Amino acid sequence: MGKKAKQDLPLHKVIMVGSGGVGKSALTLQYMYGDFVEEYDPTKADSYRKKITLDNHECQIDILDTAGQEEYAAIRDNYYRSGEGFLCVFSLCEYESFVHTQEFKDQIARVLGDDKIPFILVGNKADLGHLRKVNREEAAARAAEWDCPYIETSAKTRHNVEEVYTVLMRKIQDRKESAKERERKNKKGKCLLL
Amino acid sequence: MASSRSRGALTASMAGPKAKDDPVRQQLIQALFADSSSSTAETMMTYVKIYEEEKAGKDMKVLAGKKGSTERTKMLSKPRYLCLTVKSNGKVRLHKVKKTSATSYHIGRTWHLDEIKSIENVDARRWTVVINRPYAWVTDAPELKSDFMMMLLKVLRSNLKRLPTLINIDEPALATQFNVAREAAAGTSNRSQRAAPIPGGIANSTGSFVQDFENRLSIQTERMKRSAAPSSSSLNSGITPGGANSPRSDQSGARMIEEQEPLDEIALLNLEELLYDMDLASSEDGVALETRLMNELSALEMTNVYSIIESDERIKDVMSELDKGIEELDDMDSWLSLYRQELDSMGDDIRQIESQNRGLQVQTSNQASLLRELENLLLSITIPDSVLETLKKESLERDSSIRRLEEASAEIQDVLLTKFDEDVAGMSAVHNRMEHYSFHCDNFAGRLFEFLRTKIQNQADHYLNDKQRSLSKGYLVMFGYQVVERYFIAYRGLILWLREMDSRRFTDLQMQYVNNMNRLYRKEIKEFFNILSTHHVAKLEKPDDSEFVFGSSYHGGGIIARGGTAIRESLSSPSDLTGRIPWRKRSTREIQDPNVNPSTRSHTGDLGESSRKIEVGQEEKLSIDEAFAQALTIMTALASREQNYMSDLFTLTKMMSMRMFLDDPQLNGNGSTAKYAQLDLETQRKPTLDLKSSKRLAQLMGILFDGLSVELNNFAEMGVKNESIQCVGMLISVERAQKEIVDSDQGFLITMLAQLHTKLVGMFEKYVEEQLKFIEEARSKTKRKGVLPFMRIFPRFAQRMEALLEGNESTEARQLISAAYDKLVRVMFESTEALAKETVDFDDKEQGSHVVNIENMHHFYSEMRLRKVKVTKLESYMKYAKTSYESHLETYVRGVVRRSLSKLLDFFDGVEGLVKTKTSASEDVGFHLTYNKAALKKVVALYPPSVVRKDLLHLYRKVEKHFASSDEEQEGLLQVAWRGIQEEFIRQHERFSRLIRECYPAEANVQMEFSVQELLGFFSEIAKSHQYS
Ligand SMILES: Nc1nc2c(ncn2[C@@H]2O[C@H](COP(=O)(O)OP(=O)(O)O)[C@@H](O)[C@H]2O)c(=O)[nH]1
Ligand SMILES: [Mg+2]
Repeated sequence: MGKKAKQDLPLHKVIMVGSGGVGKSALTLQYMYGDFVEEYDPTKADSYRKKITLDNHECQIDILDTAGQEEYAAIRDNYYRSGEGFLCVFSLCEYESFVHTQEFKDQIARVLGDDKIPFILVGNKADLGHLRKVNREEAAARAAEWDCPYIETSAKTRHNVEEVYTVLMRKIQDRKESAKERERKNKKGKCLLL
Repeated sequence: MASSRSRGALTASMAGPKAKDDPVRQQLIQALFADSSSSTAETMMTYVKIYEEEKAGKDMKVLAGKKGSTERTKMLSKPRYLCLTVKSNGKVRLHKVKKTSATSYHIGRTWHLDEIKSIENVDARRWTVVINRPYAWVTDAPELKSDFMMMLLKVLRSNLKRLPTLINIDEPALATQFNVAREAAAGTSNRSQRAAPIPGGIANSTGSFVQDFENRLSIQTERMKRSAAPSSSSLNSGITPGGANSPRSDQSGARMIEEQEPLDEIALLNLEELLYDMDLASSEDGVALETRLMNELSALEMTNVYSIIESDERIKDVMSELDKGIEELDDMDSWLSLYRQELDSMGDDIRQIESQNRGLQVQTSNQASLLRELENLLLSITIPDSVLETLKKESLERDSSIRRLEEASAEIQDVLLTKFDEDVAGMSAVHNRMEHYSFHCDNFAGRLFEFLRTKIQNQADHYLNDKQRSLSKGYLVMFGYQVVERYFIAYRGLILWLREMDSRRFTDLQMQYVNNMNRLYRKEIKEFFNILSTHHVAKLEKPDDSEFVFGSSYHGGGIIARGGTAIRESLSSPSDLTGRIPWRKRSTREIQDPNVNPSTRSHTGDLGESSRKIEVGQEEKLSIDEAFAQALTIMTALASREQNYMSDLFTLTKMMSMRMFLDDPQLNGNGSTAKYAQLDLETQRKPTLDLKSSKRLAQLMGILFDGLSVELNNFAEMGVKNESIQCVGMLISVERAQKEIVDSDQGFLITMLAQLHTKLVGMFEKYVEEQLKFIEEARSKTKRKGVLPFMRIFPRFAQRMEALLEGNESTEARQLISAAYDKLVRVMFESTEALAKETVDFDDKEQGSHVVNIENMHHFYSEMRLRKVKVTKLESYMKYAKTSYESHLETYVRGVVRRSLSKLLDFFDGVEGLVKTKTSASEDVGFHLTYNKAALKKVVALYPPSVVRKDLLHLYRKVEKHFASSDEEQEGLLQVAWRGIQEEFIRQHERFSRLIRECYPAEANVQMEFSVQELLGFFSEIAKSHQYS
């Protein structure tokens, strides 16, 4: 019985995107294991699964940590298709990585054909204040343009790490709920017709 | 020949304004007719600027007459240019050209000559030409119009069989005008030249004839000139009739003569033709003809005479004609250099075209090789259908099928993971193919995942219901899962493939595995601990009812509250307890390998090599810490094996690609059995440097064994609840287990054991705190007599601790326990001394205090030595106890003796004081009032033997009472104290006797009333009387 309950838990699929070295893996590992990884080993693509409690409900989060410079387009598209929410990460210390977020955003919109997908723009490495290259206003403006939240994090100090995943999962959950709602209404409508 | 002739003639002689002087002409040629390279090239003969008179429309302007405002304004178009051109094939055409910018022109319309239907002269500047419709044209000046018309008519005449209708055109007048214009242009006014060959009268009557004549004449002239043209590219070439070349003389005379002859020849020639022409009129009668000829002749003669008269003039004319000829030649020369330039530039064009051609060839070959490359590329990313079919259909069950699937999936992986640069990846051929393979890849990943998921679930369900595996009293086994291990390891290659191609399903598969195996482990571990703790653990009937526990909350006041003896029955003899609870120093039992001992197989047959069992008899019970130690050993071995297996199954800690795996015959042996045999699951592995994978492994293990930590914790709590001190034994087992994996990659176990360790340390510290509190509280509660309970318990406690620690000197437990000793003993000693001071349980408070100290310190010291508890940390306390005991004993003994012999002691102390202070010599003591002979006698008389004997008997009873409680425990302290008292008596007796001898003269003859002999007698009397009591 316990097993059943566990398998029936809602699963939220989150995908980390962004240029290499911005801290996607560091954020993921900090969130998963509460640990900061110093050494930098470019990711291939890795998936993580964890049971969590979101607003008093148990659920599972599935995080897909992608490589920034994904060479295998066919595979990448497959990945994106499976995502229910995206954390689009850039490094506050590297302007280039901020510029690249646009490409990721476009690509996601193209693959999913959906610009309402839960999406958060994440400025990471906030702890390195003296190296900051992207100011908050500019990033916030881009997020406003995309109609998505902008959150600054530090995988090192864990600042906003929990929050960024929680906010995203709430968005995913809300979206699923409203989709269900619609479905119910549709069914009701049909019944009435009958 | 004819066409080229006409072109040459027309271009050279008929061009109105001189080419070089007329920029418009140059521009027109440059813009429209410069291209002489193609066969359709045209050469402009002449042009005229016109305005077109039309109905009002766009592109027209009101042009005010140039000659004053009197002229009416007309709607005129912007200027146009009528250009007369000739093609190399002799075809002459008329173009209407529009100026489009400062130097560029555009041909608006083009007509062939035969399209011209009529030409009508309107007035001086206006004329109308009907082609497909009437065109009314106006020129800037009358002479421009007549010049052009003249030229046009000439050309029409020489090119068409039938002329268009000419209206109001006076050809001779035109011709005149033309010549006038030419002369005007040449800057000379020479009427004779015009008048001489064509007399006005004749001209008037035979207009067409004269016109024809002049035309022919001029054509001849041109022919002559033209024949020189091809070779006259250089200015040095002379112009000679018949095309002969001769160097041109600079002398004008010579040139003139040379020119003369051909002209005459031509005149004769023409005359013949003329006569022939006139033959047409031979129908006239001879007379008339004669008359006419005569007339003509006379006219000619007149002209001839005139000519001769004017010959000088004519030479001038010839000269000027020659000059003109030279000018024409210059023109031609410039034309030729123009042609050369054209040719040069054409040469450049040709070279450019050639190089372009070469470029094209390179490009073509490049494209061919690109095509080849692409074919190769497509070939390299082409997967045979059979492979795709295999992925789709091949069974996942048998070794051989798995092998085929490995190959097929590796192949699709190779293609899908091919790195293309963006351009190649963007090619739709590549893209589509990739999409297609990606689809197959995804399908296979799904199929593989579903298959393995189902298998894992089925296996778990199967074992969950396997009755063979249920445990019972006397049968404590943790079963291994070699069958499962062997089964799934066959898919290692494919799982590795999944990891690389679909990390999400890969993670999901891990989750499936751990969740399902967790169902098994959770159940089995729970059952194991359940059987162990209900059937095979020796528990105290009453919790904490043990010889090692200082106090017990369960008993409220505990041991001490029971009263004077302070020792409960159960604790009176440690050996009893040892018999009841079979605790051992350390686990002497090794965990049995069921395969080694066949007798253990009886229950379920083969347990498998990884099954582990605790050997217990049906009714056998183990001490709590022993049971814990054994269970812990089994569980850690089980978990560590499982982690090693998972790490291999999912290749979590090795950097290895599927290809590497497939190509390694060691790893990917033939079939699952070989693959399995290759694994080493029992040996501890080095920790991986990859934090990510170790964290993941720990996470998986956490899910897999989520029941384990709970069970161990519960067991530990149960044990400690039963007997607090058990935490130490368990702590030591945990430390032993930690030591085994400290350098390994068993992150999960390391963390779990660390937590367990912390918990047990906490329990121990809590225990020590409680004991300390109890010891302190004992001060107010206890009867302060005899060996205090904590002093009694501590040596046993220490002995047990030391036994547990044996062989674990450098552990944390050692330090923990040593620190606890320190705290406990310090408090114990403080409490003892405080209790001693405050004791009211004796007849004499002071002596009672000594007794308490003596008894307790002695007990501590002797018990510790007796139990051979040797702890460095405790040595100072041992010394302290011994010293304290000795000094208290001495003081006690002295005190006792003083009570008995107080008067004697006071007296002799005084005597000795006098002697010592040297205020007087020893002989002088007798003179001291207080210590004179009389006083001595008096005090000695107070202690006759009978009194001493009585006192001693009484004293013995008192001492006996003092040490009564410890005597019960056969500590022998009464004897020790009594012996001390005896010795003290004798020593004091000797001292008194010596002082009497020294300080009082012998003649005084004073002696102690009782002798040493008598004293000894009393002692033996007392000894005898108590020997058998
Ligand atoms: N100071 C700081 N360093 C970070 C932070 N996040 C990541 N890094 C470092 O940046 C490097 C790249 O991080 P990684 O997570 O591998 O980037 P990824 O390629 O996006 O996965 C690593 O050396 C990290 O230690 C952060 O928030 N603060
Ligand atoms: Mg990464």
